[in-house]
Amino acid sequence: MKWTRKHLLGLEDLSAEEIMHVLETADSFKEVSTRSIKKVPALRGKTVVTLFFEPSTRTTTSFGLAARRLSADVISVGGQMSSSVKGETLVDTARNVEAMGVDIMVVRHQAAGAPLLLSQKLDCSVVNAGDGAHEHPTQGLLDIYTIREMCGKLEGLKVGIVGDITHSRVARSDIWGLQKLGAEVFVTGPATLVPKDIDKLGATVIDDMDTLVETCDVINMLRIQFERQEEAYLPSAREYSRLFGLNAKRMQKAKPNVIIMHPGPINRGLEISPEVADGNKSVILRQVTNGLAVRMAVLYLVAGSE
Amino acid sequence: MTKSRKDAAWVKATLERLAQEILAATANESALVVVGIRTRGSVLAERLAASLQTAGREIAIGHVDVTLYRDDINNGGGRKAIGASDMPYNPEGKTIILVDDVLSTGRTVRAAITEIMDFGRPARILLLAFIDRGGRELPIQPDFTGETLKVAVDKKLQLRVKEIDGEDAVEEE
Repeated sequence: MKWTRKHLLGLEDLSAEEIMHVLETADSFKEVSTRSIKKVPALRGKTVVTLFFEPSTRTTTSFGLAARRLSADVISVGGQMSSSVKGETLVDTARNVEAMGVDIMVVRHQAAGAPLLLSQKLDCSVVNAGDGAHEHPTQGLLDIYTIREMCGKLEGLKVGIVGDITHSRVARSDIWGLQKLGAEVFVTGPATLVPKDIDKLGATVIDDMDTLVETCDVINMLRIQFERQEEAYLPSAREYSRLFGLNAKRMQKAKPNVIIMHPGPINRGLEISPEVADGNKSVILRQVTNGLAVRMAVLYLVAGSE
Repeated sequence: MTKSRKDAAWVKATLERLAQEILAATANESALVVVGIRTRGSVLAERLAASLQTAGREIAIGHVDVTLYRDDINNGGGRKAIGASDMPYNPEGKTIILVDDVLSTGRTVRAAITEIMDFGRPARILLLAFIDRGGRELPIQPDFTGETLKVAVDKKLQLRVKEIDGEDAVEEE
């Protein structure tokens, strides 16, 4: 197939074929990072801006390195630095940045739909790096990439997602993307943090963590996001850890070839214990490595859309 | 309308002749790296390496997909699948035989040379053009040529190989 999309806003509107095209393109880019000169000239002369209105280390670093390894020029604009604190609107800020000759804008914003709005108002490509509790498509893609790499397939796999499903854009991107490629998705978490209508997205709710651990080939542990908890969704961190945390004892119930994922940053000892996070089933750092190749693929693909 | 220009026997004999020429031209070198340009150059590189090995030479094989190095990469048309480059050996100080199936403008070869340099600094790169159809736009000339074929500018000349196309042949469309 040929990739013709100018923007990457989410996995909900991508076809299975398009997702596979990104994964296969990422296969080729993975090799680039193993060379003595870790760079290809594909985006020479292109300018990529990362415009982040929420804090992030991993995702900005990953996008920044991905763009540099494609030989693009990269500028990072943070929400605190930008004039948004002086009252400028999102669209005005983005238009001003774009006016300096930007080809791709990578956007993270606390409001769901912000990247979609920018894609309608700007001429450059827009890549969603996380919008509110809506989608985080490159995280979804790197999760799917890692599962495919480790398990050798996606069709028929059982993938469990654990934790704060309500506030998780990663969960939404994973659910949409994985199901398109034939995987089955299960979720569990505190009743206050699992949306009642999540089954409408096709995911199956499992009430207790032990059952999910026994059922799944892949367990994706979401981070408990204290910064998003305006109300008291959790009785206590200790209780959460007891009911939904993944520790060595609970891992004894898991399938022998299970893999453990986490989008980071991890709260050690809360949702995941150190011996599991650092254990031989954990692919957490592999996710980070793959994230770079996946983001190179995404930037390369959207840049070729004209 | 496709017109056959060369058959399987010609392909086989020509590869054998080129292998002999390479052996003679690199008689004093210990290790050669044969690098194919994906996709059909790669197939030729594999076959060539096999016959050089039969002759007792130490041969390493590599492949480059030059898509990311092309000078027309951003001319539009959508992004197609790209094959991974595969250079398991550091080319530092080595002699490289770069294998192209059909040489024309020289732009693909330029891209391949740039890419190989990103893996290390070879002692030298020799170019093998299985078919040279002319039409150069860059100052690039082959060191080993299978055959020079005259083809009208608007015609396509394609090398077909059995590993991909089910037969060995050279066809004009």
